[in-house]
Amino acid sequence: MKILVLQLARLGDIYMSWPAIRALRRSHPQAEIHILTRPRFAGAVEGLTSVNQVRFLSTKQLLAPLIQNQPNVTAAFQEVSKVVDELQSEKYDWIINFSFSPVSSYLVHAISHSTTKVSGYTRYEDGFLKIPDDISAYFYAQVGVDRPNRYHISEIFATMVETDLVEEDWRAPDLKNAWTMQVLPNTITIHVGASEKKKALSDSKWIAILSQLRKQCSNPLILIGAEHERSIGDKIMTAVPGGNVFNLVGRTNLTEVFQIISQSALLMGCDSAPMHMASLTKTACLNMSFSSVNFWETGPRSPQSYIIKGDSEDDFVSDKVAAIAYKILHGEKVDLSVVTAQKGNPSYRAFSKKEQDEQWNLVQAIYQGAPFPEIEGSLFTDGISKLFEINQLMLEQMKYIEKGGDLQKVAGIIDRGEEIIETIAKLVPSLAALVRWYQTEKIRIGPGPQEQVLAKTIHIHDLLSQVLDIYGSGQDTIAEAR
Amino acid sequence: MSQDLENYLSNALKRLESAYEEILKTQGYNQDTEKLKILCELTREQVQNEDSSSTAR
Repeated sequence: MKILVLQLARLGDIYMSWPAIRALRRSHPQAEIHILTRPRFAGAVEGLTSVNQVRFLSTKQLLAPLIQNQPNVTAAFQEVSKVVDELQSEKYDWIINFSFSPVSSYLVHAISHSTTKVSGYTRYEDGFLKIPDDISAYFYAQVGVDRPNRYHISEIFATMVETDLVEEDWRAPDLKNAWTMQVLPNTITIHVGASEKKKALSDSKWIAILSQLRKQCSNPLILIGAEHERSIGDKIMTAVPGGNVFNLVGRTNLTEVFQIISQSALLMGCDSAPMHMASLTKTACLNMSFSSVNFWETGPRSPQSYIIKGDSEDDFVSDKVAAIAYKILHGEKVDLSVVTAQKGNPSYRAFSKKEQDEQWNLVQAIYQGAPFPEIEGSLFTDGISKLFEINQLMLEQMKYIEKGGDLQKVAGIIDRGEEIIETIAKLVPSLAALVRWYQTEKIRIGPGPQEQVLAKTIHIHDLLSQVLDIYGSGQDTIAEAR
Repeated sequence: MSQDLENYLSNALKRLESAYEEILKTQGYNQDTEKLKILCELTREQVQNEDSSSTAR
């Protein structure tokens, strides 16, 4: 069997894919597994021995003919054709698209054959989005910042490869025999940067945190980061008291970063690749996570890891951060207000707002058969009522078509119905997850004979009716259903 | 990304999208149209700095 995994996102996403790719190898020991990634992130697949071949999608090469006053579309088209034809000639039996992007969806379809199994986004023959597997449909509807998902991306990837993860899937690169760097005992590694500026702490904040930490312990500190973050490392070096600080910002490659992290007692940093590397080396993490990130999905997975959430760096109070780091190092209990990594799903224990818990419970009810949660408030009740009315109206139009009625006569009503449903989701946030499930299932219907499309559409509306009936019938029914 | 590069890519994207719409009208959605669409989306990614965005939206 020949399998292609597409992972066209960044370093951190590639590292979060490692456990699932290893699980894929376990469940398909004889398969030939290829991975398609971007050349600038090639270092992130070094040591991933579960893969037989690494292939690259060089955006630079493909777009080069366009970077001039008169873009040469023909030349760029030929470059893309070469790549597509080459991948298509591999005749993959299974393509697994971890990328969830428009580019990857078109590419997957272009390189697939009629018998290729696809997991993840692809396209129908008419170019419309196709989401063949349930977990990718879940991703489309419920995953992202400001969405209720609490499953870690690594677990979602594992579901896409149809294999449960085991402890062994979380391990460092299979390159350890080549490792030569030695790190002092009890080292704390500080990742000073982040993949995006909005996720990073300033040098002055790091100086404040590390100065507070120095009051409590004299552990060696190693600073790591990218080349363009050197100035942050330099400022920290000159300002943090107590010596024993080693500035390696912009001076290491990924293999060396793995060596440093694997031998460290603790990694401190924001949301970025080193944290995901620490998940593989099982190094405890203290993660400062900004609200631009959904920590449930992309937080650290190593044991004894903790997450401090903040809207801005002011929320990461220096002495509190230092105190938590100290407690982690000494195996002491950490304040319950700090998010704690745990085994199982979801991957964290955290206090959340009631509305957020309700949304998560609703998601579990829709996708996993858990009991539908009681959600209080007149806004929710009104939303249910409006949704029920619109759903019934749309069902009537579809039943009319089913009986031979003219589609053109009612198309406008159906379109308007969809607009109203979309509006209800915006006005009643507690119904957003349900509406997104409904909309995603509609997308999944795909092209076909009218009768078939209609039957599938009616089925989705019937399912929606069943959920609305639970709420529309009052609290007693929910209690009885439990 | 430099302003020059961004300008080149934005200009290229407009041309690509225009070419795509034209070919879609005349040929429909086929293998060549799809390859052109891939080129459009690769270019759009760069204009929006999206090849550096993470999987999770």
